[in-house]
Amino acid sequence: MVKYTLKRVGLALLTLFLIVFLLFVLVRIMPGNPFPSERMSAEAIAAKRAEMGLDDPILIQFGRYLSNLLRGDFGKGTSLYNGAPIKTVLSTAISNSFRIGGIAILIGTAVGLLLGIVAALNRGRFLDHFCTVFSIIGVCVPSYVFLIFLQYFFSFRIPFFPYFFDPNRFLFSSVLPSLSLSLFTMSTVARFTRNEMVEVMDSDYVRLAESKGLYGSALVRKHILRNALVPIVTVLAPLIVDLLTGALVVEKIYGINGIGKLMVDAIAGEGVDYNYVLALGILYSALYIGIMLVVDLLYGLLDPRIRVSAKEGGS
Amino acid sequence: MNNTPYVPVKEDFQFLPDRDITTDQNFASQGYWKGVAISFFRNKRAVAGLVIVALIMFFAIFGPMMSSYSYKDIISVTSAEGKQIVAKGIGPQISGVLQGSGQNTELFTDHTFLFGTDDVGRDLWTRTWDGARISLIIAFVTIVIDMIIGMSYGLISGFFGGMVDNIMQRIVEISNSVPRLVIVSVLAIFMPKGMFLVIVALLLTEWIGMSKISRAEMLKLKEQEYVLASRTLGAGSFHIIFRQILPNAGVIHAIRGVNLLLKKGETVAIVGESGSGKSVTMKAACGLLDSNAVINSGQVLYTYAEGDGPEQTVDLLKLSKKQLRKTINGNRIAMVFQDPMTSLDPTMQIGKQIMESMILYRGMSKADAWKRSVELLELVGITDAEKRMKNYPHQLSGGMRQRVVIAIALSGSPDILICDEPTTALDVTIQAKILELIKEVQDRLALSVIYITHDLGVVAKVADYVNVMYAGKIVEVGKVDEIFYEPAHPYTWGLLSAMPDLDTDDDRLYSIPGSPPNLLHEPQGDAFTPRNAFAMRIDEKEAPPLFKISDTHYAATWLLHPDAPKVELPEGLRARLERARKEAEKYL
Repeated sequence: MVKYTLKRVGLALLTLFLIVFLLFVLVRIMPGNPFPSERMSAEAIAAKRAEMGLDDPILIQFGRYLSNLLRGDFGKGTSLYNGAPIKTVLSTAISNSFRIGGIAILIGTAVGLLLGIVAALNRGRFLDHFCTVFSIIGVCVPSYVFLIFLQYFFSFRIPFFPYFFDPNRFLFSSVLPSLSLSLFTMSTVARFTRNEMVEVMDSDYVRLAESKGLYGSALVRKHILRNALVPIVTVLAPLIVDLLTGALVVEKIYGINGIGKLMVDAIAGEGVDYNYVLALGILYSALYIGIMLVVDLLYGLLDPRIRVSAKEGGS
Repeated sequence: MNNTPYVPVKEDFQFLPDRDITTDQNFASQGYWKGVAISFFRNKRAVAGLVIVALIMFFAIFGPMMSSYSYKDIISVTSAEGKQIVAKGIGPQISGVLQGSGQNTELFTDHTFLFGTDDVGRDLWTRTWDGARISLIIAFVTIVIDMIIGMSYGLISGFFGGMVDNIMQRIVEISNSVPRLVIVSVLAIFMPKGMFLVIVALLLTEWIGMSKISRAEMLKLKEQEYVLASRTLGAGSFHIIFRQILPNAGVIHAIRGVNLLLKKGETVAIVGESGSGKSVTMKAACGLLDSNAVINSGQVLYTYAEGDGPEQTVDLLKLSKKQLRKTINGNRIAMVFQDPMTSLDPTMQIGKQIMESMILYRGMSKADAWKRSVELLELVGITDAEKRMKNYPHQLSGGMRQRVVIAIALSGSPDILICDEPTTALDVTIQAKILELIKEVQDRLALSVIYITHDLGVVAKVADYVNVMYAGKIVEVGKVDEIFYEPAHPYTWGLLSAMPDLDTDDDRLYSIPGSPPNLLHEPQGDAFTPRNAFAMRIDEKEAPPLFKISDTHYAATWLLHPDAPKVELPEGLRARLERARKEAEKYL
C-alpha cells in the first residue's frame, strides 16, 4: 500500500509541475497586453513591464515564479484590485467558495446516494421513475436558474433567506447558493448510483449471494453497495472540483466574492490579467490533481485487488 | 398458438427436399440497423424525447426567419397621441401601431410577441431562438468532432493496450487536469471573445470524457468471447471495434416447453448448446433470473420434509422473493455457477463469503461458522484451509475458486445442488477433479444433483437421467444408457456424432451444420428443422409433441409418429455407439 501511495503522489506532483510550467509559458508568450492600455501611457507600460520582469528570458521568469510560488507568493495582479498581492485576494475568495461548495458537496452526495439507492432497489417501479425524472430535471436545470427560483420563493414570497451573500451571517446566507449548487451533483450522483447498483445487482456474484439466500438490506450493504461505490467515487471527483472552485453565475448573482467571480473578473476586462489567470489556473489544476489523488488512494481502500496487488509489488 | 392438437396427414411425412443446411439463415446481421430502429421507436419515452429535440432544433434553425424582427431590433409603440414609446418589458399582447428599429421600420398592428420584450425593448422570441441557434451550433460542432476524435482515441487506446494504452492515458490525465475554465481564460488572452473561442475551448476538453467511455467499453469487450472468436475467424481489428459494440434488442422467448423431473438422490443432466435455455430454466426455478425476465406460465413443484416433519409440496414460482430467499435458496436448493472468475464477490474475503449465510440465516455464532467453513474448505479439497479463509478471490486460481463456490453452495446443507456448467471455465486437468469432488460430496451428503452442460462426456460420467434441450424445449429425455445407446432424436444423433472419439476413422470432427436459432424471431414448427437432415414437411408446420419410447424414454420428433418413414441411425454413429457399448460391457 505504501508503495502504491508513493507512486501516486509522485505522479501527481510531476503532473502538477508540468501543468504549472505549461500554463506559465502559455500565458507569458501569448500576444496581448496585460495592462489596461487606455489608462496608461506607453512609457508607464514599459516601466511596469520592466518592474515585473516581463522582458527577461522565459526560463528565468519561470524560475523566479516557481521560487515565489513555493513560498506562497503568487505575485501581484496586473490590472485587478490595483495591483494588490494576489495571495490576499485569493485567500478570501477561497474561503468563501470552499465553504459554500463544501456544503453543496455534502448535501448533493448524501441526498444523491439516497435517491440512487432507493431508485435501484425499486427498479422499474414508480419510485425509480420518479427519481429518474427528478435526476434528469436536476441535471438539465442550470444552478443559477434554480437559484433565482429559490430566491423568488424563499427571499421574495416568503422573506426568510437573504437575497445576497452576507459574510457576517455566513451560514444563513449560504443556504440558498449551496442548495442551488448541490442540485447538479445530487442528480448526477443519483443517476450514477442507480445505474451502477443495477449493473452490480445483475452480476454473477450477487446472483450467487442470492442463491445462498441473501436478500434485503444485508445484500445491499455487504455486496451491492461496496462494489458499486468505486465508480461512483470516480464520478464524484470532478464534481467536487467544480463545486469547490465556485460557480461563476451563482457567485455573480448572489454577490459572493469567490474564486469563480475572480476568474471572470480577470478575463472580462479589455486586458486579461495574466497573473490572476495563471494563479487561478494553477489553483484549479492543483485542486483537481489533489482530489484525483485522494480518489486513487480511496480505491485502494475500497477494492482489495488494488491494495493487495500493490503490496505484491505490482501497480 | 392454437391449443387443438394438429392432426397430420400422409403428405406431411415426406422428407423436405435437399436444402443447403450449411448456410446460416439466422444471423440477424442484415436487419441490424433495422432492429435498432424498431427497438428505438417502440420506446415511447425515446420517441417523445426525439420529438422535443426535433422541435427545438426546428425552431432554432428556422425560428429567427419566421419572425419579422431581428434580435437587435428595438420595438417601439406609437401611442394614440403620436408619441414614440419603447415597448420595454411588455407581455405578449400589444395593440397600437408598432415599428421596429434598425432594418425593420415597417409598421405592424396587433402583433403578438409570444415571449414579450426585454428591458431594452427587443423581441424575446427572436432573441431566444437566435441564442438557441448559437448554442446548438456550438454543441453540434463540438459533439460531432469530439465524438469522432474522442471515441476513436478511446477505442484505439483500449484495443491495443500495453505501452500504447499507457502513453495515451498519460496524455489524457495531463489534459484532464487542466480545467475547462483555465483553457478558456488562456485562450481569451489572445483570441477575440466569441463563438469560435468557446468552440475551441470545448473541443480541447470534451474529447476526454468520450474517450474514457469508449475505452472502458472496449476493455470490457476484449474480455468477451465473441470478440475473441471473431478475431480467430479473421475479422480485422477495425471490423471488430466498430461492428460489435451495440447490443441486441427485442424479446427472447427463452423457455418454450420444458418438463423436468428430479427424484431424490438422482443425478439429472440437462444437455444443450449455448443459448438452448438450460441455464435460464434452472435460474427460473430458483428465482434467480435477471430483472428484465418475465415468467408467463408454469410451475416448479418442490416436495420436501422439514427435519422429521411431514412432507410438503410447494410451487416455487408462487413464492415471494423473500420467502424464496429465506426458505429455499441456499437452505434447500443451492447453485454452483459457471464462471468462477466472476461468481465470487471481489471485495470480500472468501471465508466471510462462506460464513455469511450461516451467520445470517442459521443463527450460528461467528466462531461456529468459522469452524464449519474451514471444514467445508477441507471437504472441497483446499489445503491450508485456515489460512485461505482470509484470502480474497483474486488470490486463488480458477480451480480453487470453483471449489470455494461449491463450499458456499454446501454451506446451507441443501438437498438439491444445481451445477451450471461447473467445469466449462476450467482447465481440462482440473475438470475431472471438480467432477469427482461433486460426486464425492453428493454421495457423502445424499444430495440430488442437476447438471447443466453441453459436454456429453461429463454427462456420461455423472448422470442417471439426461434431458436434451434445444431452442428452449426439451427434445429428448431418458436414462443415460437409453440416450447414449438408443438415441431417437436427430439432434441427439448430431450431438453424439460430434463427440470426439479416439477410434473414429475420419480425420474430421463432425459438427451439426448451421447454428441455433435466434429466439428473437420465434420459429414456427420444429425449431431444429433448418439443421435437420431428416426433416419432413410437417416439421415446418407444427412442432412435434413428446412421443413415448419407453416409460423412461421420450423424444419430440415426428419421426416417431406411426405414419413417419422408418429412419435408421446414420451408419457412422451406429458403429460408434456399438463400439462404445462393447467397451462398456468389458467393465461390467
